[in-house]
Amino acid sequence: MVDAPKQPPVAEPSGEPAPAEPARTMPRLPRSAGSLIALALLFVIWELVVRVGNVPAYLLPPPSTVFLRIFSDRDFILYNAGVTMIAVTAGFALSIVVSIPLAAVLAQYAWIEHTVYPLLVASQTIPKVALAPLMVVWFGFGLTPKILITFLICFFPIVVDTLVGFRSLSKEVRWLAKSMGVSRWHMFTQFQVPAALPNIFAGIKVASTLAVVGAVVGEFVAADSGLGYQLIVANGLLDVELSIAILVVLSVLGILVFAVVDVCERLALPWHVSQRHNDLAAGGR
Amino acid sequence: MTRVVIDNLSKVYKTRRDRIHALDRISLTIGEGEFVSVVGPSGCGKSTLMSLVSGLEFPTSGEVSLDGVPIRAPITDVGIVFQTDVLLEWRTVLSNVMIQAEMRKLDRATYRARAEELLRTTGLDGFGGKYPHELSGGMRQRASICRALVHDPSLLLMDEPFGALDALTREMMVLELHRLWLATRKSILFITHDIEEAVFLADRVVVMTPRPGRIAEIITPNLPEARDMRIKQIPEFGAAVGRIRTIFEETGILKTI
Ligand SMILES: Nc1ncnc2c1ncn2[C@@H]1O[C@H](COP(=O)(O)OP(=O)(O)OP(=O)(O)O)[C@@H](O)[C@H]1O
Ligand SMILES: [Mg+2]
Repeated sequence: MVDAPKQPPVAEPSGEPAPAEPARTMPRLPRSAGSLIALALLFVIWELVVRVGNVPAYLLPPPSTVFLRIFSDRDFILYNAGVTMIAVTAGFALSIVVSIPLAAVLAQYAWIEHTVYPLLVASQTIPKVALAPLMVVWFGFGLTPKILITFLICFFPIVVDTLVGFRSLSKEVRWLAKSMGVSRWHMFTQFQVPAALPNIFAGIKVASTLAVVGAVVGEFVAADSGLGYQLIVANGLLDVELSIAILVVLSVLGILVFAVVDVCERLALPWHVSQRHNDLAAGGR
Repeated sequence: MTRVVIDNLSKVYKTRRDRIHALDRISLTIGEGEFVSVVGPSGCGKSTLMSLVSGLEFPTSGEVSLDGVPIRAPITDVGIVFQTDVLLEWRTVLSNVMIQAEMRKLDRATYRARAEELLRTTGLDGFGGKYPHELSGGMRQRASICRALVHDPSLLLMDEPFGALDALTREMMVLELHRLWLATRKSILFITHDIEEAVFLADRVVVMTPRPGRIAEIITPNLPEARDMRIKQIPEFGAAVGRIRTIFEETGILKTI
C-alpha cells in the first residue's frame, strides 16, 4: 500500500509569489500516477546506488537483474505464486465468511459480546507465527495449515471493524426503524448491515494486506511449494536475486488482493463518504 | 374525540453523574384532527416529550395513551419528523422516502407515486435519485418530512421540522403543512421554538418552561380555520404571540430590555 504522494508544499520565498504552474498541472494526472512515478524513482535510485557504489550482487542485486530473473524464471514463479494465491484466497475468503456473521451475532446480544469479545482479544495476544509449527503437527504439510494461518491473521481486524460498524447505528435511526414497526430481521438487513458496510470494508481492507503475510508464514513452516517456501529455499542457497524477485512478486500479489477489495467497495458503496475524498484507496490501483 | 392523552408525565434521565429532570408532570391532550404546537426554549424537554408520545422512550412516571390504550411499545401508525433528518446515507432520497412503504409492506407502485408527489410539493423535484450527502441541510430536512408523510399516518409528530430552512422556504413549508392539515385532518404534535410559527399553525399552543420542563400555559389563539400569512395582521394573532412572549419574559427566558 503506497500512499498517494501529497502535493509537494510549494516553497514561498518571502515577497515572491509562488509559481502557479506545478500546482495546476499536478491534479490532472490520474491518482495512481504519482505512486507509480515514486515507485519508478525508487527503482532508479536503487539501480544507481548498486551500480555506482559497486555493491556486490550477492548482497543486493540491482532491480534490472531482479526483473530479468522474474522474467526468465516466470514459469517457476507463476506456478508458486499460484500455489500461494490459493492459500491466500481460501484463507482470506474463510476469514470474511466467518468474521462477519460472528460479528453480527456478537452485535445482536450484548451479553454474548461481553463473553466472547474478551476471549477474541486474548486470542490475539498469541503470536500467530508461533502457531504455525503447531499447525503442522495438527494438520500436516500442505494447504490446510496455510489456509488456517491466513485465516487466523485476517480474521481479527474484520471482526473488530464489523462489530464497530454494527454498533455505529445511531439511536435516531433505530427509533426511525421502530416507528415503522420493522421486524428484527429487517432491522438487521435494512439498517444495521448497510450502516456497517463502510466499517466492514475497512476491516476487509486491513485483512487483505495481511492475507499474503499469513500465507507466506504458513509456507515458511508448513509447505513444500509456494512463494514462501521458495523464499526460504532461496535464502538457504544465498540466492539473494531470487529472494528479492519473490518479494517483489509477493508485494504485487498483496496489492492485487487489496485492489480487488477496493473495486468491490466502490461497487457496493457508491454513497460512502470516503469515496468522495478518495485518499485511502489510491495506492491500491 | 381525544386521540392522545398525556397524563401527569415525568421523565428523569439518570446519567452516571446526575439525574436530569427533563419533564415534570406534563398533562396534555391532542384531539382527533387537532393541531397542537409546543414552544419552549432549548433543553426544556420538547424532544423528550415527543419520544415519550411515540413510545420510543418510557416515562419515569405518568402515562401516555393513544386512542384509549396506554403506550407500552413504539407506536407505528405515526409519521415522525425527528429533530435531525435521520436520512439513511445508503439510500437515495426517493428510496429514503419509500422505506416507509417497504417496511410496512404497502403497495410499491401506489406509494411511489405518492412519494414523488410529495417530493414535488416540497421542492425536491429531480432530487429523488440523489444520495443524502448530495443535498443541502434544508433539502435533507424536507426529504425527511416527505418520509414522515408518505404512508398517510393519522398522527404526525414533528420535532422542529423547519429548523434548518431559510425564511422563505420555511414560510412555503408552513403554508404547505397548513394546507395538508386542512385537507387531511391529521392529529399533529408540532414542536418548534418559533413563536409565530407555533401560533400560525395550531389550534392550541403549549408553552413550556425549562428545568424541569413544565407546561407554563396552554393558549388557544382562536384564529379562523383556513389561514394565510395575512392572518398575522389580525389582533388575535398578535395577542397570542404577545401572551407567549410575556410568559417567556416572566420565566426569565426572554429578557425585557
Ligand atoms: N438520553 C438522554 N440522557 C440524558 N439526558 C437527556 C437525554 N435526552 C435529553 N436529556 C436532557 O433532557 C433535557 C431535555 O432535552 P430535550 O432534548 O427534550 O430538549 P429540547 O426541548 O428538545 O431542546 P432543543 O430545543 O434544544 O431540541 C436536556 O437537559 C437534556 O440534557
Ligand atoms: Mg429537541
